[in-house]
Amino acid sequence: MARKDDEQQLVDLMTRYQQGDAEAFTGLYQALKGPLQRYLWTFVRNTTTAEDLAQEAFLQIHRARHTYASPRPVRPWVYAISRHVALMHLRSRRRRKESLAIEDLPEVPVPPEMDRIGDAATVFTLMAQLPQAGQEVLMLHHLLGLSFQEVGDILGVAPGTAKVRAHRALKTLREMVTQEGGSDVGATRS
Amino acid sequence: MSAPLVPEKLLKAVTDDLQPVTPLAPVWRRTLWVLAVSALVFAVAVLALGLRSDIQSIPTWLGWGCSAIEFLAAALLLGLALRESIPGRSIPLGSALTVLAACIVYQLTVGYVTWRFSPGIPWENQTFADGMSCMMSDTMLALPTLLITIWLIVRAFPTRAWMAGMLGGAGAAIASDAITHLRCPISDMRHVLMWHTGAVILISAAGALIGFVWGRWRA
Repeated sequence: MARKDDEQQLVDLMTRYQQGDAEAFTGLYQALKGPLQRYLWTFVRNTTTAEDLAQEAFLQIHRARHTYASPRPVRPWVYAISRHVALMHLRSRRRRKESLAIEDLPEVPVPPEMDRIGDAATVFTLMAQLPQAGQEVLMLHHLLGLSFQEVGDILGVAPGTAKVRAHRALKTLREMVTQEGGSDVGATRS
Repeated sequence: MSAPLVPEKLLKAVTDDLQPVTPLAPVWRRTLWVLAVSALVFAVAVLALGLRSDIQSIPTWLGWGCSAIEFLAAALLLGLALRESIPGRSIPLGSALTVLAACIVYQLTVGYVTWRFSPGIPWENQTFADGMSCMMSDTMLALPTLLITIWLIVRAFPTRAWMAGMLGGAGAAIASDAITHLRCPISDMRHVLMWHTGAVILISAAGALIGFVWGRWRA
C-alpha cells in the first residue's frame, strides 16, 4: 500500500514537473536521489562517481521529461535513463573499475531474503564480486523493490529472464557467503 | 534524515529550461501516424506504378489478403520500434528478433505459395539489373516510412537507439514488401530470397546503423 502511495506521489510530481513546476522537480530529486545513487553505485562502485552520475542522470531526465507518460510508473522510466547514463560513462572510461572502500558502501536497507545471507556490509562487499547483470537485478528487485516486470522493462529482457538472473545471483551470493566462512563474515559484521 | 538539497548547478540548469512540455503521444497513436504515411506510399505505388502482370492468376486472399497481413506485421514492428524508443519500455532482444524472423519466414512462405500459383518470369531469364531494380524499388518505397519512424524515435529518448532503429527499419522494409508482393512479377524463391529478403535485412541494418550513429553522437 505504501509503495502504491509512493508511486502515485511520484506520478503526481512528474505530471507537475512536465507542466513546468520547479518545486515538483525538487520533490522528485528528494524522493529519487538516494535510490538512484545506490543503483548507479552498482556500475561504478564509488559513491562520489555515483553521485556525479546521479546529477547527470537528473539532467538527462530533465531533457527526456516529455517521454514520460502519466500514469505509468515513474521509477522504471527514471532507472532506464540512469542506466543509460551509467553505461555511457562506463564506455567513455573504458570500463575502468574503482575499488570500493567499506565506508563507501551506500546505505541501503537489506530486505529479509538478503538479511538471512548476511548484514548489509557483507552483502554489498560480496555483491560487488557478482557479474554486472546479477548485481543489477538484485539491486533493482531486492533492494529497490521493483517488480520483475519493471526490471525487465529497464534492462530490455523478459520478466522471466530477470527472475532467473535474480535467483542465480542470490544463489551465488549464498555460496560466496558459505565459502567466505563464518570468520570473514563475522569480521565484516562487527 | 533531512531531504537532499538539489545542487545549485543542477537546479539552475533545470529552472533555466523549465517550460511546460507536451508528453509524447501514446505508442499506438504514433504508430498510426507512421502507418498513415505507409498507407499513402502503398496507395501511390499501386496507382502510379501498377500491379504485377500476372495478378489475375493469383487468388485475392494470396495477393491483397497476404499483403494486408504483411502490412499488419509491419505495423507491429513499427509499434515495437516506437515503444523501444521510450525509456523503461525496452523490448527483449529475443522477442524483437523472433518477430523479425517470423516476418521474414512469412515473406518467404507467401513468396513460395505465390510461385506455386504463378511462377512469373523464370529465374533463367532474369538479369542482375532486374534484381537490383527490385531491391532499389523496395528501398525507395521503404524510405518515407523509415524517415518518419527515425524522426519519431529521435524525438523520444531511446536508450538502445540501434535496436529502435533496427525495428523501425524492419517495419519500413516489411511495409514496402507488402507493396512489392503486388508489384514484382518474379516469384522464384531465389529472387525473393536474394533481392526482397535481402532488402528487408539491408534496410533493417541501415536502421540499426542510423540509430547506433545517432546514439553515439548524442552521447
